[in-house]
Amino acid sequence: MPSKKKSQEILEAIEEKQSETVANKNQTTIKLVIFTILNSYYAFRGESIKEILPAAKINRVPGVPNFILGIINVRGDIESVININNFLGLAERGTGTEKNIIIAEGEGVRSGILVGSVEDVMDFPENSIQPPLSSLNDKIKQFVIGETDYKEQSVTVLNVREIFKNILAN
Amino acid sequence: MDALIDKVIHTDESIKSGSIEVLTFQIDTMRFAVDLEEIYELIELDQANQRECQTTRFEEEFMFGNITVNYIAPKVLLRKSAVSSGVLIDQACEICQVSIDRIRPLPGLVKLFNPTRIWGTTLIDQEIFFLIDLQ
Repeated sequence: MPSKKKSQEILEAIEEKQSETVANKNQTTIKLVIFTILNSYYAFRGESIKEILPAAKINRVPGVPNFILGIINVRGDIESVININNFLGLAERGTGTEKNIIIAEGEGVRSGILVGSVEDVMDFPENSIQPPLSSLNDKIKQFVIGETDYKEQSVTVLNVREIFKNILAN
Repeated sequence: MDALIDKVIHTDESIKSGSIEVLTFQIDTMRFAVDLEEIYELIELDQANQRECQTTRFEEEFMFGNITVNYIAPKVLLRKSAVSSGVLIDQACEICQVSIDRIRPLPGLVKLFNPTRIWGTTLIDQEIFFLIDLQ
C-alpha cells in the first residue's frame, strides 16, 4: 500500500489541530485573579474584581470591626479595605509586606481587599477547578469554590460574594 | 431648638456657597474635621476645668473601641449646641475651606458598622479627613 503523501499528512495534522482548537473554544473557562496571602496562592473569579491597585496608605476608621483595616483614596474617591485573613483562619495580621489591594464587588458591597501580591490574571478551564479539600474546616469551606493548580502549586479559589454575604449577615 | 435652626440655615447657605469651613485636628494617626458652625469655642484644658465644663475624651465620645490615645497638644472644643459641654481633641491644626464637591460619603461597608457621628470624608492636601458631627 502506498504511503500517504506528505502533503496529505500535513493537511490532516492541521485539521486535527483545528478540531482541537474548536473543542477548546467550546470548553468553558473562567478568569481567575491569582494572588498570595502569607506565601500561599489564592484566587477570586475575575467577574467580581473591578480593579487591582498597588497597596496605598490605609487610614484607620474609628469604631469599626478589626477586619476593616480602613479606607484609601482612589483618585479622589474613598474605598474601604478589609483583611480577609480572619475569614480564612489565617493569622489576623499580615506580614506588613502586602503589595496590592484588590477592589471587589458582590452582594451590593464594594471593598478593597489587602493581599500579598497579585501574581496573574488568567483563564482556566472550568473543569480544572476541583472541589474544596474535605480537610478544610466548615468555617473556611463556605468561602471556597474549589482548588486548582498554578505553577505546580495549589490555588484556593475563593468566593468573594460569600465573604461579603458573611459580613452583611453579621 | 434655636441651635438646630441655626444649623439648618447654615447648611442651606453652605450648600449654596458650595463649601464649608472646618477646623482640622488629629487624634492618634487619624485626621478629623468639624464644621466651624458647630463650634462655640476652642479653649485650653485648664480653661475648661476653670469653667467647670463637662469634658469627654474624643475617643470615648466617638467610641474608638479599645484604642488608648496619648494626647500631645490637647484642647477642648465647646459645642455651640451646649456651651458648657466639650470634647477633648488633640493637635488642632488649621481652619480651612472644604468644597462640597470634595466631600465623599463613607464607603458602604464602613457605613454598615455606623461609626459614631462620622458623616463623610474629605481630602485636604491628599490626606483623608473624617468629617464629624459634634452635636
